[in-house]
Amino acid sequence: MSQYWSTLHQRRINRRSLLRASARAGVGAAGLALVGCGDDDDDDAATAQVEEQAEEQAQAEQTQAEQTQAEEQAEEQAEEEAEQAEPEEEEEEEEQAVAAGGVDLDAELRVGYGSFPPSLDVQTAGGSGGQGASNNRNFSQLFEYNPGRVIQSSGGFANFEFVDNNSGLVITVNPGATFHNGEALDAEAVQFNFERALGRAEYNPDFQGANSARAGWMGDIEVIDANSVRIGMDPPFIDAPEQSGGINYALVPKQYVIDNGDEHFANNPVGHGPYQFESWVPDQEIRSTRFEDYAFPRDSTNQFKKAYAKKLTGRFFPEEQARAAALEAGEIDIAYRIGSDTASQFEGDDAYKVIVLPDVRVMAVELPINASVDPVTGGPNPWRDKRVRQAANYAIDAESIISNLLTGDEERAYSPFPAGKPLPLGDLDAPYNYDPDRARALLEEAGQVGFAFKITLPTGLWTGDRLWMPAVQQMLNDVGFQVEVDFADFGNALSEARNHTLLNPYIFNQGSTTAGAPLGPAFSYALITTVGSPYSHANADDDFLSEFSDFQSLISEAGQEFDSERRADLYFEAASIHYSNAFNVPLFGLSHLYAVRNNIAYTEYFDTSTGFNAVYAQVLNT
Amino acid sequence: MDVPVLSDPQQARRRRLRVRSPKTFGFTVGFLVFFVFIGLAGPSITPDDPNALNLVGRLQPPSFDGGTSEHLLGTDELGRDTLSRLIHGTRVSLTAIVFVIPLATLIGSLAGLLAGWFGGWTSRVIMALVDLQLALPAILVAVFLAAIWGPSLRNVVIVLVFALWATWARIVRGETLALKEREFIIAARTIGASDPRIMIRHLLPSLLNSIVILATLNVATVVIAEAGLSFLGVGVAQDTISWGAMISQGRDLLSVAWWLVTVPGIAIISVSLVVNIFGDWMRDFLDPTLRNAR
Amino acid sequence: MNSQLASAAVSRLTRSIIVVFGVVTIVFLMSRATGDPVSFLAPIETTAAEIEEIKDKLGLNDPLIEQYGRFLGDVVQLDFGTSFRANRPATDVVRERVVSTVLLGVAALIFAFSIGIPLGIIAAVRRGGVVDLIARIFALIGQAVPNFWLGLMLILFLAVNFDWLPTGGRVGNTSIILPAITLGSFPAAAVMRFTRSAMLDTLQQDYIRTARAKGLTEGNVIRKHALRNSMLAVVTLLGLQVGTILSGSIVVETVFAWPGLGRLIIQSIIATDFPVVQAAVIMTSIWIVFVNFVVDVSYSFLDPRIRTGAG
Repeated sequence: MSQYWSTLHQRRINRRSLLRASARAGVGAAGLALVGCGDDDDDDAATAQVEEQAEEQAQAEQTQAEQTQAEEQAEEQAEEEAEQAEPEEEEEEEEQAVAAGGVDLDAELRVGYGSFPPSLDVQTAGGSGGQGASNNRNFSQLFEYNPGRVIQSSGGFANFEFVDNNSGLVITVNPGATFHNGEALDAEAVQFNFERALGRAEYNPDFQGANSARAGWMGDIEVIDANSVRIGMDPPFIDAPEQSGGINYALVPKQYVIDNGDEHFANNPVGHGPYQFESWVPDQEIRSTRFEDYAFPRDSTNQFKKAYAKKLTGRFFPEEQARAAALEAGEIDIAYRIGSDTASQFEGDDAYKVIVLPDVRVMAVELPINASVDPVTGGPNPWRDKRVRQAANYAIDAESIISNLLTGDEERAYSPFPAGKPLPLGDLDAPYNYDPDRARALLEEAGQVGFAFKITLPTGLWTGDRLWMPAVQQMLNDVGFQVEVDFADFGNALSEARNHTLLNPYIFNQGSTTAGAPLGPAFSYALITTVGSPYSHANADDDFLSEFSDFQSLISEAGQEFDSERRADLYFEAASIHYSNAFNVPLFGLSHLYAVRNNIAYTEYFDTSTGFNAVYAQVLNT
Repeated sequence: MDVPVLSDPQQARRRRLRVRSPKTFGFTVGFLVFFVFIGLAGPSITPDDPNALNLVGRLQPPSFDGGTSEHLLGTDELGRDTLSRLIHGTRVSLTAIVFVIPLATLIGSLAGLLAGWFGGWTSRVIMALVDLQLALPAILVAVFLAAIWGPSLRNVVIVLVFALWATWARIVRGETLALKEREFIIAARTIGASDPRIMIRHLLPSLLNSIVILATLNVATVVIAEAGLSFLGVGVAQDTISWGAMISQGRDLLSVAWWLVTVPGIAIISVSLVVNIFGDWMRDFLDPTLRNAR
Repeated sequence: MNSQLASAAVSRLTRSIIVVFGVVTIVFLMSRATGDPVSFLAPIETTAAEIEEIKDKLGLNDPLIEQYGRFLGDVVQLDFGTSFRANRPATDVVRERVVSTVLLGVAALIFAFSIGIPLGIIAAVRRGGVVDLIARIFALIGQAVPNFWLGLMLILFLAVNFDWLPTGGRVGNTSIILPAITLGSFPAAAVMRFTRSAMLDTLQQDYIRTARAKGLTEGNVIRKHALRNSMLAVVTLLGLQVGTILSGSIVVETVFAWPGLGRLIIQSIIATDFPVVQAAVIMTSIWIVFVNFVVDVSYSFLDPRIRTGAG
């Protein structure tokens, strides 16, 4: 087992140095970016890497790579030929050529998921867990994430532009795009979607969108022309594209929703993504077929691509072991997010391989630093004491968790910068590395030995959560805290956090910015500690710590700062306040593991909001 | 919904199975004493702190399966000593037994006694409650309580008392009805003894055998039910070490670390098996007609 | 149908209705003890006054007895409100799962009775023989092994190690085998025990002795007389096993990822989806009461003693 992971480790280092090199060369993002925090929960691996499980596999991998290459060449060739051919024939020829290269374009791709959405309406299910994992292939987002660009960019289905001295955001949809049912994806549709999400749409003002909270910046939404919509902003908001073009606002067809109602839509969704919804059995399976008229070809230079496998079937196995067993039994091709122990059982088995996709976000214990009372005792809130927060930071041996419970490749995170970033040490002389004695001393000094609190862990999406969480709990207990863990339903915990009713500390992944890239505009949004974050302990009318007020005003300022250098400075300053005051307890950046059959090839294209993106997965002919 | 109690008076005499030989009985009693001892002494005799992390030494197999002698039954996914956790888990099982059995016995016997003795509306109300218990499986009550208060040992006790009291109520009522017609009770009545006096002085001693037998026979039910509820996450609190919870935690590692699920499972089975054998023996000894009392 | 039988049926029906009423009352009281769902569900910007307004609208500020009356009315119409999680009527969510659970339950019962009855009969007839010994050890162990553990062991040995059967989910025709065996094992032991003693009991009866004295072969005696009478007692057991099966299914469905009612209940608990929990609990109880009622009534029909009023 240890040997198994060390193999991965070595390869990963190579990849990392590659990233560093490219960063130095000014390439910047190097294919990495971030999502706004909680931007659809389960979809966050920004970058990916197919890693084989054992050295013996190297050979197979090579063969496979050759196959992929051959297939790509064939595809290019086909493409060239197609250019000269009649447009109708393009599709067919391309597919024949590709099939000859080894990819089975008629294949059914079966994925076993650990969480399933309760509803297939992207706008209600967002943030309930399992949404992205299972059916967001039925939808696409408006803007694209491009390699070399850190944030949401124009391109894809629409372009955006800040107008009128940054008091408005104009979104222009590329003409010609349609939903699966043929309905036009135009300005009306875009307007309808935002209004629906905000609960302002006329057909059903009671509609409760999961993401209304993150659209607080949206003023009036007006249709300017057939393809353009203008959203008013007061004050200007640099993260606006991030918060309108992400998967949280994947578009739904206006007329279809109005005609059939929300309930029908939730069970029979129509989107505009690479896969077209076919049927579902709640908590059992979701079936989709490839959308043949998808607006983008497989070789498009952005994240949008036509899918490879003809059919996509998501199956629900909430237990990790059941997913792995289903893979072994041939019931599925991909076991979604399994822990390292379960993954190790595929070690040395030629029939399977393990794909490791690092997550750019940082797992952290979020602390209610501004609340004046402790929800348990009703007395003063001990988290207001910096020493208590620091004690919690010193208590946790994140390195040991990484090397023993995770794959060993995860990076220790230091608040609030992404894992692997240099530390914004502020007035602190040393980073919060594991130091239980110091933690005990700090806790004692603060008079809080035996401080009892509960940590809520939204379960089911973060790899190995039931493994590392008890370790974190025990490490805190070892220095004198009394921690209880609430293994909560993902969607529930999220909606409580969103409603600011989750008063105790909870685990969340802080959206981080790109590893090795400048701090992107969405960074403020990604900081869960802030008042404006959709998932946060902070309320505007809280009794702020003075350090927090400083921090918050820097973040607010940065959100309106359109100059990227000045913005980065503000963020850095805010981050050092965050760090030196230990506003939260950062842990690590998780890696997500996917066990797949050997005939699955996965070439990750830069795509922040997908995790394992079934669209890019190829079933090879065997 | 009463089950007809079928009797086979000769059966006790015709034992063919060796499980009830004196030697077995000695072993049975010895095991139970051991179980109680472990439960009571638990924390002071564990080789290790059951919560102590040892991430480097995680998932060590039991010493007989290639592990070290330091951890006789291996370690779990966080390197915690399985044996120590098993011993701590004993305590939860024992606590459940200690609270549930007396409470259920008390409530059930009293209800059965009242229903049998007074008859009429008293009986009807009590028997309706018995029917209610049958219609509302304990596990559903557990689920509800867990949803309301969060899982805890207190819930487990409430749920199991709710689930089990009816057993005593049914049997005790039936026996009371039969005893009511016996001469010594009729005699006590005619000399004007008060109801409580008859119930306590005359009925109770005659009912005691059955009550004790039922108590013994239900001990295993408590052990298994507690484990089951904890396995589902509606039993003991998340931090409490219990056999059921250990199995639940080890479930994801079934094919990696067999001992995590197997060891606590064997503990549950051994205790249930031995308690059942002991209960059967008690029954045969005290009252062979109660064969289908469960 | 004679009048005595009819009145027995009516009295059982009354009893069943009272029980259902009791279950509904208990569920109501428990659900009101959970506190107030509004503050949990209300969106972030909701003020305290607005929350009160919503509570007024939902009737949560009315006297408990009024709320209870409304609750009863809703239950009669099988209206349990909208599932928090699925955003659809809770009744629908529950109904979708019933088929899977019934399928599993029936399979488990078939397993239990097809193992338990023959084993019980042979054990009784060849009392003290090898089969008897095996049967009694089986019964003893069957009562000591928790079904979730048995399920995990079956997965470990049959599905993981030997790859014979699927480990979970409801896919293909074979996926029901392991859960059905797991779920049916405890009832199988009970059925076996019960059949054995019912059979032993019957074999002691005078009419069996008479039949034997008449010179009927042992096989005929058992088939024609003993079996039929013993089966009567076994039918009662069916009613009792329905409760066992339904509560067992919660565990077994969790172990085998079987998409039935039991798993729905556990999922809904984790998601604190009270409407669904309520609906599932009440509907499950009604099922148990109904099956027991049917069993009771049909038992009256079958049993000559009850039919003639002698019982």
